[in-house]
Formats: sequence, C-alpha cells, structure tokens
Amino acid sequence: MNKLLTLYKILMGEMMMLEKKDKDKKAQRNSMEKFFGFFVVVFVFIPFMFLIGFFTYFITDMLSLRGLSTDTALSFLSIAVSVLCALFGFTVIMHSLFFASDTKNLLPLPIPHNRIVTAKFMVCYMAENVMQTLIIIAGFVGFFLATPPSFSSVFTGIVAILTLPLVPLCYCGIISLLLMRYTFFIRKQQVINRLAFAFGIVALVLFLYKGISIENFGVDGLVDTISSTDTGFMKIMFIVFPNVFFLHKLFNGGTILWLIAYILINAAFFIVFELLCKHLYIDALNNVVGKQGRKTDTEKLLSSIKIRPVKRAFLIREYKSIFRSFVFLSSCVLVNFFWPILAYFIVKMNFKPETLQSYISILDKQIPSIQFIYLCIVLGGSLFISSINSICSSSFSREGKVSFQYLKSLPVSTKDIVHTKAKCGISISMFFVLTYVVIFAIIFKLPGSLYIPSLLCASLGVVCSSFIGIYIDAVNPCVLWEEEQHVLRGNLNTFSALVAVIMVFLGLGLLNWALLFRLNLGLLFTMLIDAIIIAWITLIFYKKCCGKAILAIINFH
Amino acid sequence: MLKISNLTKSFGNKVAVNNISFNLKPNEITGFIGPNGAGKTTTIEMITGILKPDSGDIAICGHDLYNEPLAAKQCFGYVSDTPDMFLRLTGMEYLNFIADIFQVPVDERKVLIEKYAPKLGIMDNLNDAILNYSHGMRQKIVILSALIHTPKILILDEPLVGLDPSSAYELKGIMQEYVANGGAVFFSTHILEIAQKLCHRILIIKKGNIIYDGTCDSLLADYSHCDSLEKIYLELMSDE
Repeated sequence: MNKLLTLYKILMGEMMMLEKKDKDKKAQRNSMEKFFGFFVVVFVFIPFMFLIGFFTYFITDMLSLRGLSTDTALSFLSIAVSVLCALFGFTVIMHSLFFASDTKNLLPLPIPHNRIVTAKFMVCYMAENVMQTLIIIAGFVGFFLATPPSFSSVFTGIVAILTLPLVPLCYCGIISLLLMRYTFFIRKQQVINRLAFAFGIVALVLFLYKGISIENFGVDGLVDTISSTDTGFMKIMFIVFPNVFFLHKLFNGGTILWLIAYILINAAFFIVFELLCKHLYIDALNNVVGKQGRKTDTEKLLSSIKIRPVKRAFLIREYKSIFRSFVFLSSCVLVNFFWPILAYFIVKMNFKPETLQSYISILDKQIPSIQFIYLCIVLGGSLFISSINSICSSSFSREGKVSFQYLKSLPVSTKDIVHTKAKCGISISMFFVLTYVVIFAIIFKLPGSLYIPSLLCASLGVVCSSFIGIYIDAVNPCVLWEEEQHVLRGNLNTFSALVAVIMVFLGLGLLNWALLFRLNLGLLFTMLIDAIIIAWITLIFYKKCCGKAILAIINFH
Repeated sequence: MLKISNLTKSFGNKVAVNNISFNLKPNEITGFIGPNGAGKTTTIEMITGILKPDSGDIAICGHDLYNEPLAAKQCFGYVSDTPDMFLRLTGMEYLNFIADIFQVPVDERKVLIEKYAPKLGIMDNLNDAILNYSHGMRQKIVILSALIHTPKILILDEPLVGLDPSSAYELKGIMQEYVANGGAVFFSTHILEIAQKLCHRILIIKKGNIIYDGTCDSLLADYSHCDSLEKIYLELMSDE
C-alpha cells in the first residue's frame, strides 16, 4: 500500500511538473501563478460554472413547471459528465498505460505491475476529477436554486462529486486492456489519436445530423428526453452507466440500500479492471513493444521528393507538427469547431417570440444595446477564439527545447520563423472566426453593408490575438516538457496571452460603449474605429515580435 | 574555414567557455575532447548560432556568424548531441525539410539519400515517423540531414553515442571521405581511442579553457612518459 501511494505521489508530481527551483524563481513563479490563477478563475472557471449552473437551473425549473421529477436534471448532468469523462479519459488512459515514457522505468522496479497500473489509474482519476467536480458543483448550485435542497440530494451530490468518474474510467481501462491484448491494430499512439479524431468527427456529424433532423430541436425536446427515464435516451444511459442509475435512485430520496448498491457497482467495475490488469497488462504491453515498422518502398519514396521554397517548407512543417499530434490537433484545431457549431445551434434553437430571436432582429433599427452586444460577440469571438486555441501562444513552446535550439542553427532568419508561426496560427483560426461571425451576422440580421466592416474587425482581431500570443511565447518559451499536453496545460504563456486579449477586449468594450451610447456614432463608424485601434495594437505587437521577441529567441538558452 | 577568436560564455557566475580561440582547416578532422561540463557543447552551440557568446568572434567560410548569420549557417551541417527533434515528421519529410532549407536540387537529394541512407542502415525506416525511431535511428537521420546539403564543415556533438558498431564504422568512413574531398569535420567525443585513430588534430578543453591544441602524435611525444592517450588525458584532467 505504501509503495502504491509513493508511486502515486511521484506520478502526480510528474504530472504537475513540480520542479526544484531557486527561491527567487519559485517566488516569482508563485506570484505569477496567483495572478494568472485569478484571471483563469474569474474569466474561465466562473463563467463556465455559471453556464452549467444556469443550464441545470433552467432545466430543473422547466421540469418543475411541468410537474415532473426535478431530480432527473441531476441524473442528466451525471450522464453528461460520465460520457465526457469516458470520451476524454480513453486517450488519457491509453497513453498513460501503454505509451507513457515512464513505463519502461517503472516496470523494472520491485513493485507488482498491477500496482503500477493502479497508481497510473489514480493519477488519471484525479486529473479527470478536477473538471468534473467543478461541473457537478455548478450543477448542484443551479439545482438548489430551482428547488429546495434536501439532505439526500446534498449527500448524493457529495458522493457524486467524489466518485462519478470512476466507472467511466474503469470502462476506458477495461476497453484499452482488451484492445491492446487481443487486437493488433493499435501499436502506435498515432493510431489512437486517429481513432479518437475519427470518433470525434463521427460524433460531430451525428450530432449535427440529429440537430438538423429534429423539427422541435430546442429546450422542449431536451426536457422531454430528460424526463422520460423509463424509455429512450435516459434508459439506455442508465444501462451503460449503472452507477448513474443508482445515483438517480439516491437523488430521488432512495434508502441506504441504494447507496450500498452504488458503492458495490463502483467496486465491481474497479475489481474487474484490476483483475484484467493482473492477467493482461504485461501481455498487452508486450504487443506494443513488439511493434515493427513496414518496409519502405524506396523507389516510390524517392520519386515523391520535390523542392519547396524555404518559407513554404517551414509552414508545411508547422502544420504537420500540429495536425499529427492528437493533443495539438484537438486543443488547437478541433476546438475551433465548437464556436461556429454553437452559433449554428443558437440559430436552430426554437426560442419563444419574446426571447432572443425577436430581440436581435431590431439590429437594423439602430438600437445601441443590440449593436453593443453584436460588437462584443464579433470582437470577443475573433480575439478569444484565436487565443483559446493557443496555436500562437504555444508556437515556440510547442517545438520543445531540442527542435527550438536546432532551428537556430539553420540558415533561416528568425523573422521568417516568426512570420511562419503567425501564418500558421492565423490561417487556422481565421476560417472558424469568419464562419462564426457570418453566422452571428445572420442571427442578428445584420444589414448587408455592415458585413465587410464586421469581417474586417474580426480578421484584424485574429491577427492581433495571434501576434500577442506569438510575442508572449517567444519572449519566454516553455520548451522543457515531457508530454505534449504540458505545452498547453502547464504553459503560463497561454494564460498570459488570454489575459492580454481579455484586456484588449475590455478596452474595446469600454470604447464601444462610449461610442455607441454617449456619442451615438452608429455601428459602421464604431466598427471602423475598432478596426483602426485593433490594427494599431496589432502593429505594436508585430513590431515587438520583430524586435524584442527575435532578440529573446536568439539569446534563449 | 572556421575561425574562432576569444570566445567567452558565462552562465551567471560560472564561466563555461573562457576566451578560447582556434581555427579549422580543410582536409582535417578535429576532435574536441573534454570531460562532462568542460564546455564542449557550449562551444559547439555558439559556433552553430544556438547560443550567443558574451564576447568573441566566429567566422565561418569568411562570414561573420552574427553579421551574416544566414551565409555563415549555409556552410555547415550540424548534428546535435540530442537528436530528438521534429518528431512528428517522417525521416524522409525531415530530410526534405532540411534540403528545402538549403535549397538542395531534387536530383542531388536523391543521390545523397541513396548514398548515405543504406550506409547508415535507415533506408527502410525513412517512411516512419521520427517519434517511433530509437535513439540510434534518430542519431542516424540527423547525421544524414547534416550530409544532405554537402556542407563545407561538419559539426558533430557526440555523434557516435547510441550508434551500433556498423553505423559507427560507416560514420567514421564518411568523416574521412568528407575531409578527403576538401571538407572539415569538427566533432566532440569522450572516446579517446576514436580521437586517436580518426583525428588529424585534437583540442582538449578543461573548465572552459583549451589546454591542448595539436596532433595526437605531438601530444604523445610531449607526454612520452605516458604510454597511451588515455593516461595523458587523465594526467591533463587531474592536473591542477
């Protein structure tokens, strides 16, 4: 048991990137972390939790109005958390158990291999639990605002917060062990990444298809789905995640027997996983180690060679390094799909006449508050989408120390490298941002003459946000990392860039408020002034990228 | 071909390289020998433009590295001591990328890949991602990338570490062939036997200072009481 806990602490410490630093650096890092932590809490976690809370409150209220059991809102939330946990947990578990570089150092230690697996599983569990805890807490707050709390619901909530990811992660562990032991198509991590990518695309297509095909897609349809626990979606989900079924019974004021049943089902899943680990893990791992590359067709390979201009070669390398890594592909590229889809579903939602849809149709009537909201959506979208995806704010960190240093030995100017990084980030973000802006322009029934100024503002927003990100990452790149996810999760530059973009957004918001409400300038002129200001900020950061950032890259060691 | 004058680099209070000067000439293999932390990699990183020196000048093929960096960098091929770079590319994509940077014509690339890849034993792995290569394989692909643009100077940081015996043998042959064709090779190593057999000249660095610059034969003659280079090296390193 002691060995297991020690191993768990070591693996957890490794994940958290705990490093021994000298006192000054540590103090500096601590104050930086507090500062960024504050911003992340205020601008990311709290709005996110607010959204979840609002959603649960809204659904609970709707169920209550219809005279249905309100507890199903929490069951639905638990199912959503379980599904998300299973989806994201699979690649995490696969990587941790079979492809992590620490495995070959851990296996020779005098520790039973199932203990090593258990320690790795615990680390994954803790990593997954942080976000689920936030979601469930927010959900409970929303739930209790809509309906008075009872002892059983509070108690069940605490149980859910602590234990909900266990069954989905056991599923991931069991499936990964069986796949790796008895099949032979996953021998490299890239295959998992491709599978996850393909699965994500299929899920997205199905989701879009479902959304398009449902006539009454909207709140009513969702409430109908949630309330019918004996048939349809909820029933299937209760079978897939039996722990949520027992949790549902507990939410409904169930007795201690349901709690015991809940604990037992969790224990059963974990025991099955442990038993499979004991018997299958080493064989499954051997299947990975025994991989062999395919023989190359030399003639074909040599005939495919073609010469490219230097800048283009650099850009293609940049795209390949993003698109071939699941971590970068999902966090930097695929995440961008969320925003246009969100915008699409806002269009698709059947709002009642007195709500958003009719409210926004008066944009062409020059109502400043609607114009202000529209501008916030356009500017916020263009600045935040290209910052949240972290393509530019991780552009140098992404290289890793060896590649970063090696690039400096090549006969390519640092300015060209900076330009390539910017082109890559801008080209990926731009498509999604412009799609998002056009969708919102349609929602808001924007007059045709305002489309070009809107798109101009959005494009400049993307360029501005990209150069801010590149500058921040170039000045102090975080190139020492073990796993690619540390480039995004453990990199303060991505937070710094987001904070800088938030500052720009708040400044523009204040200006727009003054221009629209005090000076009554109208949308066109306000957008043109915004465009000039964003272009000016972009120019400042571009100059910084070509000056201070290049010097920092040259002097970095 | 390479002229280094009064090169100095400090990290905080620690002087890593202290006012060193030397030249590299064509047709010479120069071995750079020293214990861990002596300043070998720091010197090589300054020569290749990775690290900026605190003071001193570096001229490569007549181009000052800091005033004409691109022209100077066109003249050398560099093999890092850690070959874990551009891991998402396949071996062939990496070679093509480097060849694009140096604008090597397609026909020339093909000839060089066909010449060196089989020698280093990586022809069959060129289509695999570097991420899936072993350390030795990565070392080989980086060596091949340094050769693909036929530089005038080859700068190699511990190139033999991780190579299998046959690849190490081939690499030594490639280095000898290179200098025979008018090139210069500068490489760091811990393996004294290799330095003794391969190098026309050796530089020994200790605590950032070059304590010996000359041929192996003259070193052996200077320390005639020692019967091997290994003993001379140990004496030089223990001498305070």
